Amino acid sequence: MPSFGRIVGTEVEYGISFGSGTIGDAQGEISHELINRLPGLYASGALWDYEEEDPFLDARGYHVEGDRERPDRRENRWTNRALYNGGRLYVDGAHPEYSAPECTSLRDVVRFERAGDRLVEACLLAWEAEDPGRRTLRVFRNNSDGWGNSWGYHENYLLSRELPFDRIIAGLTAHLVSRTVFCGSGKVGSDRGQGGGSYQLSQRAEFFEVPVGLSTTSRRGIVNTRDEPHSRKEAYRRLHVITGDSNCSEIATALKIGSTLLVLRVLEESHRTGVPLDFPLLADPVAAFHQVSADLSFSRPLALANGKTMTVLGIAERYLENVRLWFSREGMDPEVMDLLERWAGVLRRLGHYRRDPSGLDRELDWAIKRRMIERYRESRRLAENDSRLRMLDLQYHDIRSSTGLFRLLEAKGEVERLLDPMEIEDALVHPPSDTRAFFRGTLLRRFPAEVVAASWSSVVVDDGTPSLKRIPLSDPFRGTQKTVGAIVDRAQSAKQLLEGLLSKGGPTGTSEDMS
Amino acid sequence: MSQKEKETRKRDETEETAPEPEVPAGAQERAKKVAEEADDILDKIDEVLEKNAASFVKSFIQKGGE
Repeated sequence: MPSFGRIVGTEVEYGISFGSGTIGDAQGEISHELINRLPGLYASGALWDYEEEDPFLDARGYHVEGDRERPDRRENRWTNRALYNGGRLYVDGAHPEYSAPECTSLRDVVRFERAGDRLVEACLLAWEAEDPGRRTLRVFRNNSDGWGNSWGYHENYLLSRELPFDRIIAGLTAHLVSRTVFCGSGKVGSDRGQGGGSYQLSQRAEFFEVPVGLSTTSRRGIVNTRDEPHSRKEAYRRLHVITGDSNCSEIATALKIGSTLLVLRVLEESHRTGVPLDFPLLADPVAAFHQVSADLSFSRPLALANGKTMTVLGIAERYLENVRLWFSREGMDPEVMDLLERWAGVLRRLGHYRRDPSGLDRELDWAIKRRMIERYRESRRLAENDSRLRMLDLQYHDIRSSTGLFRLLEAKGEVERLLDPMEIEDALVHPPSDTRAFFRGTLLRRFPAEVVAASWSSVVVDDGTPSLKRIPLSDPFRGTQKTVGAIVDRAQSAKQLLEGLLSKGGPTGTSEDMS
Repeated sequence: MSQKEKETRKRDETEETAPEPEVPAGAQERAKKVAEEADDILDKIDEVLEKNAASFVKSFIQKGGE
């Protein structure tokens, strides 16, 4: 029965400052210091294996000039932590970044993403405890500073190579624009003057300038073309989605990832079976993205390529209908069923948000945050331009349990949850069981002295012989608990593990993988 | 507060606000309780909200990322 059954991984970049809000040129240095304070409970001394990385390959079929990253040993260690949960904590540019391990269920995607916040919080507390100057830090799970600078939240979807890239562009663009109504995390004011009003839905929308592009730092494209699958290139592509906000709400994260994954699955299936789809095409996706973010009435018409117009809710409903139709024909598992129900419920409530915001203000970040700010502003009689409103916005995303306002609302039972908090705690140290992240994370923890490096698609082991052994993890669906759990459990050393794997034909089940 | 305590606390609150018989007095009490809880949250926000908000939001300038 169709389930999500796809590999998804998400990446969160964090904003960081000293307690005063300033940080300036120290941002990169402090970000490095921060991740180097990660307690030994969560990672060993393994390096990150850069051998396979190539972020300059473009999905449209060409290679872009640029320097591939190849740091020396010291720099590598200073910049990376290969985590026991199968993910990676590192510094990208000048921001701390957490890449969650590969997951196949929506629940895992949400809980491993939240585990990242907890890991960074552990770093934060350790940094402050050890800082000789007794300084404090603030770390934010958000995407803009209000001064025109943005940092990312990236989703990665493993897709069949058979789906042509132009079908992805045509099928996905209007979804990435319209999903903003349920997965924007909300923003007071504007970074680049695109917002119009005092509050907009998305942190990121203003920063997008072209419909399609490779860069993530300038001239950002709504559909990103990076083609770096970290797996078998001939079989898979990894779609890198960079339009999203970092959500705090578990519900919003699930809707963002789940809806996009289902749209992609329908695109794949419709291509495979030759069944045409009825997804809307926007005339000007970039203008539409800016407009959707600024329109809290959800009713301004958006121009379509066929000369007609639709509202953003009309577009979102069209996507939902297509997906629902597809899955009701094919059958669905409970997780897909739950998601479709939630997706439909949220769109229905958005239709009468003006009259009755209840429900949404417990589920969607932009609505939760807006209600909190409005309540505070009215009761404390603050002016529209009071800087405390912008501070409430920022502090909503503060990851520290004792000062983060989302964390406060959550503790008070003011927001809907998907997870049991213990599921998140488990994800700090244990990898997902059903992807290659299981193999990576478990090896790192079981053999901390012998696993010298890891990456998405490899684990490098020192088995005591003169040469290091690179174990390829070229298929993200393999190396699961089911297939290699017993071998890893039995092995008392990396050497024994290699012997066990060789007799089985490698962690991904083919003898070539071990060559 | 640990996650576990939070969980217990959340459960307690859910129990306390569970539906009561539909009598006007109960409804009034409930409305009062909701208002008190809202005040409680705003007070808690006051406790933790950055005191130097004006200078913080002015100084919070990040290098672009990704």
